[in-house]
Amino acid sequence: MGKIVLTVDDSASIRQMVAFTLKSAGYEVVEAVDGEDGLNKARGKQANLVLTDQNMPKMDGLNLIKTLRGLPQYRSIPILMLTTESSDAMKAAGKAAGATGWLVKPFDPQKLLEVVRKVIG
Amino acid sequence: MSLGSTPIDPGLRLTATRFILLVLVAALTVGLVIWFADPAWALVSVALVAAVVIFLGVRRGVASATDTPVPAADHAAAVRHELQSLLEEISRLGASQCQSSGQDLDRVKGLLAQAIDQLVVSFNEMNHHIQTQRDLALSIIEGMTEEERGREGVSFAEFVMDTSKTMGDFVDNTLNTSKIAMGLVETMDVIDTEVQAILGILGEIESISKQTNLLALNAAIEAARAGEAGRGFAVVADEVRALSQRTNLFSQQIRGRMDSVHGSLNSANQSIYSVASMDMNFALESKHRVQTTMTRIAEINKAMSKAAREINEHAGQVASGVNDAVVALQFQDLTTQLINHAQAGMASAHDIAGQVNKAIHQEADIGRGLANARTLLRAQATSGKAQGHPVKQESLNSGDIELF
Repeated sequence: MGKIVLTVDDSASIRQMVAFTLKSAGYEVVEAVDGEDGLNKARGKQANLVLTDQNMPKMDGLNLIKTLRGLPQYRSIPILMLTTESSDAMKAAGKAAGATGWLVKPFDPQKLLEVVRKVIG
Repeated sequence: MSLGSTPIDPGLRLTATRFILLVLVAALTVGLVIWFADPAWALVSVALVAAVVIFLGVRRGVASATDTPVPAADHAAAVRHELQSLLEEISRLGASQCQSSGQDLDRVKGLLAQAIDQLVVSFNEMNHHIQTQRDLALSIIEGMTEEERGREGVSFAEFVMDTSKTMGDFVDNTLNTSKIAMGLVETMDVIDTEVQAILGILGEIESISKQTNLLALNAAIEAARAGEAGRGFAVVADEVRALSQRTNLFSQQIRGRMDSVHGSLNSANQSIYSVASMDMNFALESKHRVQTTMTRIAEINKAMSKAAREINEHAGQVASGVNDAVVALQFQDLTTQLINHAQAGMASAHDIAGQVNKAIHQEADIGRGLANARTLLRAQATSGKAQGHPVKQESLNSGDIELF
C-alpha cells in the first residue's frame, strides 16, 4: 500500500485534481473539505503528508497546521500549504506555524509530484 | 414620507411680478364687469377675484406682493426629509441589486463547480486511456525490436531472421543434394563400365574353360586309344574335364550375380539421375521468394515499430496536455475565491449604506449626522484595505514552490 496523503481544501475541484495527480503516482489520498474536517481525518488515520489550503470555512490552514503540530503523531509529519495566497507575510506566518513548504496555486501536477516525492519519497 | 404639503417646484412659485400681473388682470376683469353688468354681479366678481388671489398667495407661499423666502427651519426639515428618503431609496435599491447580483454570482459558482467536476472526471478518464494506449504501444515495441526483447527471449525481428536463414539453408541443401546426385550419376557410369569389363573377363574364362574341356576330351580319346597304358591318363583327363566344367559353372554363377548387380545399378542410376535432373529453378525461386517475403515482413515490422513509437510519443504529448489542463482547470478555485471576495465587497457596501442611513437618522442635526456618516465611511475604507485580497494571480501559470 502506498503512502497516505491528506488533502484539505474547500474546493472540490482542487481536491479532485490533487487526488488524481497523487493516485496516479501510487499514493493513497484522503480528502477533507475544511480545516476541521482535516483535523478529524488526520486524527482518524495517520497520514504521511498533509497538503492544506489556507482560506477555508470553520478552520483555516494556519490554524490546522498549528493544531496538528500540537499532536505528537503529527509533530514531524511534512505539512505543505497549497494556496492562492502568495504574500511573503503569509509565507512567514506559515513557516512560523510549522509548515514544511508553500505552494502557490495553480499547481503543476508534475511539480507537485516532485515536491511530494522529495518530502516523503 | 409626507410632510403636509407637496414639495415646492421653484418654477411654479409666484414671483412679485407675476402676482402684480395677476392683480392687474383681475382688476381689469372686475372693471369690465362693473362697466357692463349689474352692481350686484360686480360685487360678486370682486369677492371671487379677492378669494382667488388670497388662496393663490397662501397656496404658493406668497403672503405679500414682495418675494420673501421660505422660513429656514421648514427648509432644513424638507431637505433632511428628502435626504433621508433618498438614502432609504438608495439603500433599498442597493439591497435588491446586491441580492440579485449575489444570486447571479452564486449561479456562476454553481455552474463552474459542475463544469469543472465533469472536466476533471473526463481528463481523469482520458489520462487513464492514454496510459493504457502507451503501455500497449510499449509492449508492441518490446515484442518487435531486438534491443527490447520479450520474456520468451525471441523477438519478432529475430524470428524473421531465423526463418529466412532456415529457408536459405534448406534451399542450399537441396541444391547441394542435386550436385551430389550429378556426381553419383557419373560414378554409376564408371561402375557400369567396370561391371561390363568384369563380364568380358568372365567370357574369357568361359572360353578357356570350353577349350580346356575340349582338350580334356581329346586327351581321354587319346588315352582310350593307348589302351591299358593310357588308363591312368584317362582318369586325369576326366578330372581335368570335370574341373573345366566346374570353372564354367562358377563363371556362369558369377555372370548371373554380375547381371543382377548390373540391373540394380541401372535402377539406382535411374533414381539418382531423376534426382540430379530435378528442376533446381524451383528451389532457387523459392529461396528468392522467401527472401523477398522476409524482407517485406521485416519492413512491415520496422514500420509498425515506428508507428508504435509514435503512438508512445503522442501519448506522452497528450499526458503533457492533460498536465497543462489540470493547471488551467484550477481557474475555478481562483475565480470562486474572487467571486466570494466580490460578494463580500457587495455585502459590505450594502451594510455601509445601511449604517450611513442609520447615522444620519440618529442625529437631529443633519450636519452632524452627515459628519458621523463620513467618519464611518473612512473607517470602513481603512478596514477594507487592511483585509487584503486572497487571490493576487493575474494568469494561470503554475505558482511558486518554496520549501522551508
